[in-house]
Amino acid sequence: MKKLILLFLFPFLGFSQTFKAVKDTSALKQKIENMSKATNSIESDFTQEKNLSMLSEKVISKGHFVFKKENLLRWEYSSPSKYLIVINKDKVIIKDEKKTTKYDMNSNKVFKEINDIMLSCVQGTIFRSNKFKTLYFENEKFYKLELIPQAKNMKDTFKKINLYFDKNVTSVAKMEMIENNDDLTSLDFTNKKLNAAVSETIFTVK
Amino acid sequence: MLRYPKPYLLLNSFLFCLFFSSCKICDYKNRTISSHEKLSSQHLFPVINDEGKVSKYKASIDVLNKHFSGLVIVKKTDSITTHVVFITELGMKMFDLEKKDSLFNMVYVFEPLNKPDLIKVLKSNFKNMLLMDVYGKTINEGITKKKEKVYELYNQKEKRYFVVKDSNQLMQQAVFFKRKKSSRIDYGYDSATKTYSKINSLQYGLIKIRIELNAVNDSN
Repeated sequence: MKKLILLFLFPFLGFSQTFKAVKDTSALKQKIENMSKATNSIESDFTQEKNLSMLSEKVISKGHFVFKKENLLRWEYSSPSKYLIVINKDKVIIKDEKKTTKYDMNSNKVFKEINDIMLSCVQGTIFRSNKFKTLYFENEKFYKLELIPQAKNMKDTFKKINLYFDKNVTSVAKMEMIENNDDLTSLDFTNKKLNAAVSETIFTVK
Repeated sequence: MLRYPKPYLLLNSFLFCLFFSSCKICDYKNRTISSHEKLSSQHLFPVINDEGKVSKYKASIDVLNKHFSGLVIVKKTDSITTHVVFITELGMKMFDLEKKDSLFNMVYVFEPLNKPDLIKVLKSNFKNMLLMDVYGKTINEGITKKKEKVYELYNQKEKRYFVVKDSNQLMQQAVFFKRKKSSRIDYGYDSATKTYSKINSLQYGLIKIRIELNAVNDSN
């Protein structure tokens, strides 16, 4: 029975193992840059878990995302609600169960920021941003980038954002957003396909 | 001066009369059966689970020409405290409304929503929709024009009417302020889960707000 439990927990053990500071941060940065250059498309399922600390409650959402270089992203929730965000260059389209709304990124600063963060998180290149101070950690299984917000509007909401990469640095394995009140949102990426052919038609919404 | 054809004016007057005649306070209370009872769950089946079980709703909120969607989570955390939390699909918390004893307080509001008028409207709508302030208050029982059972609760200038069926299942709540209808809330009760599966609220007046809640079962 114990073996069975360990077998079940094994894939998650890496994230909770103690992390220590990375000694050669420039080598890690270079690996991430190489990963970003080599990645033209990413397709993946995701499980989002929102922990509401005050209520001791978890809200689990599931979905699928597709990214294609340079600025194309389809981020789609299938449960518990159907919700779709499409970023197509300078346009953002949000479709929920009631309404479809289109925004022009050039005329909306908030969406420009959301776009920058989502795309750079998916590609792992968010460490380049001067809006965050980045700390680099590692354990046997993962690299972890702790991003501490520096801009006021981000500081008001987030304490930090954690990005996890597998040790081969092929893609982002997990992301965590920790709010100032210690509520935590984590995103686990599974069934990843890198550099598969992706049609651009999926980045349009009618 | 702009002149409208006579049939158009007649039609307008008819629609105007129809609208106001359908919102009258007397539609809700035609005859009183009993007075001065204390409202309990025997009268109105509660929306909030008293044993601390969480309720989750898909939520859609339209206010001030803005549209928000996400999940509303309602939980009684101890005998005197209840939280109503709204999070977007992306996991961003938009607000956390706390009721402690009889006091309502926004313990967290996402900065773009942090406007006094908006907070007031959100507080009063969720308080009404989720029946957070009605139990133990004095009510009159009556019959509507359509022969449905109705409970009347009044407090200074505000009157609230609760139309029920099958003894205590709430179908509609109407709120009147100085005899003008200020909001209408419709409820859909699911006898399989013994919960309200739909709660839709529409507030009229200067700040119009529409809130739609659809219960999420764990299997959804």
